[in-house]
Amino acid sequence: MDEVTAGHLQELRRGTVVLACLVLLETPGYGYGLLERLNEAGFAVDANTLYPLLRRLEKQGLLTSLWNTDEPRPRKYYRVSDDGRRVAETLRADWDALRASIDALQV
Amino acid sequence: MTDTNTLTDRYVAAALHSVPTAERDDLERELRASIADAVDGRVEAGETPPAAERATLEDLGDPAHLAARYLDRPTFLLGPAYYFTWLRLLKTLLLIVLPIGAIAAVAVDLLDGMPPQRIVGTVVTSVLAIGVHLTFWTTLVFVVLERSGAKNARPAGAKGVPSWSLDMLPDVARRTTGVAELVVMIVGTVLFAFVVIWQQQVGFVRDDAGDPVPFLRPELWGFWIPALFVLLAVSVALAVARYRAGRPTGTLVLAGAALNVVGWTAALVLLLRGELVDTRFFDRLDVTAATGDWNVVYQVTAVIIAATVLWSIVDDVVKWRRAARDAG
Repeated sequence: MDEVTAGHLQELRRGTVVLACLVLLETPGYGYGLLERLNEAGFAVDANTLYPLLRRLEKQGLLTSLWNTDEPRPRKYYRVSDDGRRVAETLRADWDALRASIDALQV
Repeated sequence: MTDTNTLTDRYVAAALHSVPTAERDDLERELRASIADAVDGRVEAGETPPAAERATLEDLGDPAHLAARYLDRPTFLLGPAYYFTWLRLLKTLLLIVLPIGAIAAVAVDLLDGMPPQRIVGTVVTSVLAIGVHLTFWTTLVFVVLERSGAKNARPAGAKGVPSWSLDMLPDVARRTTGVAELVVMIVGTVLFAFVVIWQQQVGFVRDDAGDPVPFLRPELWGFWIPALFVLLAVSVALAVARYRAGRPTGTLVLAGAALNVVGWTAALVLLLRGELVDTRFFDRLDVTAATGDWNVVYQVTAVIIAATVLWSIVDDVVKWRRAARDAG
């Protein structure tokens, strides 16, 4: 893929990772586990993008976190907050509206 | 690797050393767990543990970059929020300060009695030094702004930084003061200053001993010529302000007229009192005999100068009235 296309694709995908995280984290998840789930779900995200993103969303109050020390390897679990849920709904509505607009272009 | 530090230890240390301590422990535990999870994943897929560790860390990339993302810090020195404000301010500062600095440097060197061929060298060095300092410190202030206030208050809000507004648009149709006029004015002023110095230090008229005979009386260096340099610097600043405004404004016309009146009145008084021109200069040129009474020459010159100054002030006022009418 040429650089121009790659650049535009990256722009187009940028916000979708946030939406995907907020939706997937209805079930609590930790960094690496979420990375796997995102990749399986078809979102190509890098670890060095996702991990800082999770902390940023937590600082913005869209995610809450909890250390799980029951397992031999303690992990930080994230879960969507009420605010996060509201943002996710807004993002999803916007995504649907954009989708409808783009489909309408193809008439 | 004989070291007890693993690659992961070194990677985590490199990524987290710039993270504030309050956050570091939590972040380190999380990052180590994530790395360990990824390594386990790769080992399960059949890689050897050392290869899996290397691949995982290479995937995470430059630790400095990862740290910047964690801290939500910009990975550039000066971003789009401040770029144009920085550019405008720096241009204005350089345009105003460099000419003044050049003139001031010349004046200081002259008071030190430095020979003219060395003055050129020191002026070039001073102007370069001023330019470098001005650019560096201005940029540094903006970089600090970028890194501190920028995150919360993007373009418009940041304290003391003017945001762009429609009023800042240059007035294309009515622009009466162009960049060419400004450059000519500045170059002309600097040349004039150099001629004043040159006629004292080098000149083209020599006495019998081969020393230069200046046109202006040497006593003027005590006060009047340094004062002239200050006036020249101020007039350059006014010309720059006028260029920035795009047309003469009332204040600028008034300031310009005041400057003209003060400067030329002083010159005329000195001239009429015979304290301005060194008559030896004309003696050497053998023109004294032909002209006769110097007072007549001075008076005629004074009338011509006064008329010229008056005309230039009237011209300024007319331009200002026209600009004001067009704008209104």
